[in-house]
Parts: sequence; structure tokens; C-alpha cells
Amino acid sequence: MIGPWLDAFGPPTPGVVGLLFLAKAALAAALILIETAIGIVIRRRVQAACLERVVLGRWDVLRGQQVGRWIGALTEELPLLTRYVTSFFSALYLLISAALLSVMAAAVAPTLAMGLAALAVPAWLALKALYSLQSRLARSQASARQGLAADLTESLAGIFQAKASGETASLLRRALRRQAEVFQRELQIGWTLGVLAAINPLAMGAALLALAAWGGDASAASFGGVGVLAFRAATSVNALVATLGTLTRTVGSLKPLDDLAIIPEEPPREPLGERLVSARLEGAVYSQGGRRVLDGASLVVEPGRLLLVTGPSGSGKTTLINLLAGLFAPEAGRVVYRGASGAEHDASSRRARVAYVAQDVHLFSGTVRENLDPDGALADEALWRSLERAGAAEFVRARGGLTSALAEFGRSLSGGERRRLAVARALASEADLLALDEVTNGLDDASKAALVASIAELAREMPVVAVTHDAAAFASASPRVFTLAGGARPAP
Amino acid sequence: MNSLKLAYSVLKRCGLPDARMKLLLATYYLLTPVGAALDGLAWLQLVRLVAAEATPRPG
Repeated sequence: MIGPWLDAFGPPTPGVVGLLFLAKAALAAALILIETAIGIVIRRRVQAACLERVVLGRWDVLRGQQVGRWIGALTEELPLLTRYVTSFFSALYLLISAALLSVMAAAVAPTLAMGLAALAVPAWLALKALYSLQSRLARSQASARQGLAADLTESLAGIFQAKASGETASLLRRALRRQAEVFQRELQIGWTLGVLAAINPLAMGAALLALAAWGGDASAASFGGVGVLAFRAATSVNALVATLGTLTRTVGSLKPLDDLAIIPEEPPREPLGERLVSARLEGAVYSQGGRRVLDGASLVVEPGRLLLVTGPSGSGKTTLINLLAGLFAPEAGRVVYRGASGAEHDASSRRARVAYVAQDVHLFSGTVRENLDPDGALADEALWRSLERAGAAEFVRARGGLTSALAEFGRSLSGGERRRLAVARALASEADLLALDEVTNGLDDASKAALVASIAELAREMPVVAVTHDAAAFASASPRVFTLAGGARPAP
Repeated sequence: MNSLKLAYSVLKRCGLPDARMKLLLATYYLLTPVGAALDGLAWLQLVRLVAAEATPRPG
């Protein structure tokens, strides 16, 4: 007789047993479905939230980081984090299952069940040591994986220059620098998996031998009852062991995602609420990497004449634009926006619409229209007006108009055309202030002259500031010139 | 344990567990013991059925 308490369920018939198995199968399927749904909820939310952190994070924190690491975290590490979390939930589930089945086994034949449980202790100690090793290896592998993603992104971003200069071999070497490290860790993890695979059958074999030795005076039915429950519990424990292994192998992915999740958001700033007439820097002080880059800079950007900021490399030209745009906060001094109403607003609390056009123009693969107006909110007339003002209408028309396609990063355009299109995009977004960073770099004389003429025209009607080390290129625009002396000194 | 804390902190910063995830988890852990009990019961009843068949009937 096994488990007299089972009599409460009535005499077993093939029909009842069959129904029990069907119900158990339906429940197992439902649990897997729920597990999948939990995984999807996590991936969706964490990916969106981390992407938000990158896009809305503080610029002074983001600018020192590697884009490749973000891409690696959002694509490769995220599914592993999800597996880590769902594995944790599965582990709890398996633990509950194994515990319940063990309790049932103890109710059927207590001595046999206790004997089997004692065997689990040494197996568990061996597993614990292996998991600790796996966890260390996984962290180290995740770090190497992040490095590989960063190296690949950095190297491939410069593929065209490398092709032109015939340096593709060194680019490949650099891109794959960390590959060996990643796979070395993977091989080490493989060794631990091999040992794990041997531990499970060993423990199972020992358990069955013990059952045969201690179960001598037990009835065939209780031997069978405990055997089948022990087998089911061991199946849960096996799955639990595999799941704990997944936990330790995916633990390395937590750090890269945590690094993204802790990026501080930019402090909230209200929109200006009116048209910007001028932007003013008053005694701005800013340090970077222990160097005082700006030490009390004061200037005004207003419509009428282009403001040209010149100075040697490292003199703080780009920092100055970042301060005017409100992306950096000055350590001392302030940035003031004056609105059309005459009211003055501090840049630390108000956000102006600043269009920033740099030497490396950021254009997407897609149509000209998609690049000018990603949300598709503007009419064709408004886009053509922006293109006209930026001096870009002619070449866009020649290339087939607003629906003509652009290659990634705008590679199908010349350097001058790319920058004109970027200026047109800035104008289409109805920016209040146009900030240009070394926009004439690398252009031929004719392209420079045409671009500068368009900029001078725009500067008559809106505040425009351009930083450059090539002041001569802007001479035809008769700009006001602000010169930064350079020679940054250590920050006090 | 530190890893679990780290995982929880990532989820929390990302606004999880939200209402949907809590509902899914509650359902999951409500069904878990039911599934395990059904599993054990189904196998035990099968063993009883086989044992009953194997036991000679009186007379």
C-alpha cells in the first residue's frame, strides 16, 4: 500500500490517470507561455528605457562613452539579461516543484526519501563551486564582448577612410582585437559545462544505487512510488541545475545594462515659449578633464551679423557652442536667452531650439524628405523653403526632389551638399539659433564660398554662431569675430 | 545575491515590474504548485494503477 492518503482520490482508473496527465500537460504549456510573455515584457521595457537614457542622458556624461558599447548592451546583452531574470523565475518554479514532489515522496516512504535527500548535499557543494567559477568567467566574457562591440563600431565607422588609404588590414586587426579574449572565456565556460554534465548523471546513478540498497524491505509499490517521485523531482532538480547555470553564465550582462540605466537624465528644462532673439554668455567658466577650457567668456549671438568664434584647437570653441545650446552647464557665469517679448530666461531652466550642424553631418539612409522632416509633419512647400534658404534646393531638385534616396550618413552627397542639407534640416525644424561647428572643413573653395554666402544670408534674420579655425573662409560674410586664446590651464 | 540585487535595480530603473508583469508573475506562481501537485499525483496514481493490476485478486 502506498500513501494511504491517496485513497481520498478514489481508486485509480486508466481514465482518471489519463485526465490527470492531460491537465498536467495543459498547465505545463500555460506556464511556458507565461514565461515567454514575461521575457517579452522585460526586453521591451528595458530596451526602450535604456535607449531613452542614451538619447535623453546628460551630454557631458554621454560624450566620453563609446557608442559601440551601447549598441552591444542594447542588442547582445539585453537578451542575456532577460534570460537571467526569466531563469531566476524558472529556478523558483523548479524549486517549488522539486520541494513539493519531495514532500510527496516523504509521505509515501519517509526513510527512503530522506536517504535520497542526503545524497544531494555533496552534489550541491560541487555545483556551487562550479557556478562560482562560471559566474567569474561570464563577467569577464561580458566585459570582453562589450569591448569587441566598441572596437567593431569604432573601426567600421572609419571603413571608407581605411579603404582609401589602403589600411584595411590594420582596420581588421583593430576590429577583431578582442575576439580572442571573448572566445577564450567561452571555451573556459565550455569546460565547466562539461564537468556539470558529468555531475548530474553521477548523482542520479548514486541515488538509484542507494534506493536499491536501502529499499530492501520496502514493498514493491512504495519502492515504485518513491522511485517515480524521486525521478520526477530529479527531473526538476536537473532543470534547476541547468537554469542556475544559465543564471551564472548570463550574470555578466547585468553590468553593461546597469551602466546604461544609471546614466543621469538631463535636468528638465521648459521650452522657451517664445521666439529667441539673442543668446548671451556671461563670464562662463567651464573645465573638462581637469583642464580649465573657458575662463570667463562673454559674448552675444543675435540676428544681423554672423558671430564667428575662432581659436586654436582645444581652445574651447565647441565647448562654447555646447554652453550656448544649454547642453553643458557653466561652473560659473550663466547663459541667457532673450525672447521676442524682451524677457530674459536662464538656459539652466529654459530650453531654446538650437540647431547644431557639425563637420560630420548626421544623415540617415532614406529619402531627402525623411531626413529633413523625420516625423512627416511638414508640407512640401515648407521643406522647399528651407532648402532654398540653405542654398540646397538646386542640387536636391537635380537629384530627383524630396523623394530622392540618400545613402547612409549621406554618402551619396558631396561634403558641401551634406552640410547644406543639414542646415536645411535645422531651418525646417524652426530652430531659433543656428550653431555651426567647423562646417567649411574639407570643402573646396567654390563649395565653401556658396555655403558661407547661405550662412551670411541666414545670419541677417536669425542668431547664427560659427566656430572655425579657418576664419579666412568666412571673410566674405563680414562676421563679428570672437577669438579664444587657447592654452587651457589646469582647473583649480 | 549581489547579482540579483543588480538585476532588480536595472529592472526597477526601467519601471519594472509594472502591472502587467506583476499579473503574469502572480499567475505563474499560482499555477506552479498546482502543476507540480498534478505532476506528482498523476505519476503516483499511475503506479497505484499498475500495482493494483499486478496484485492477485482474492479468489
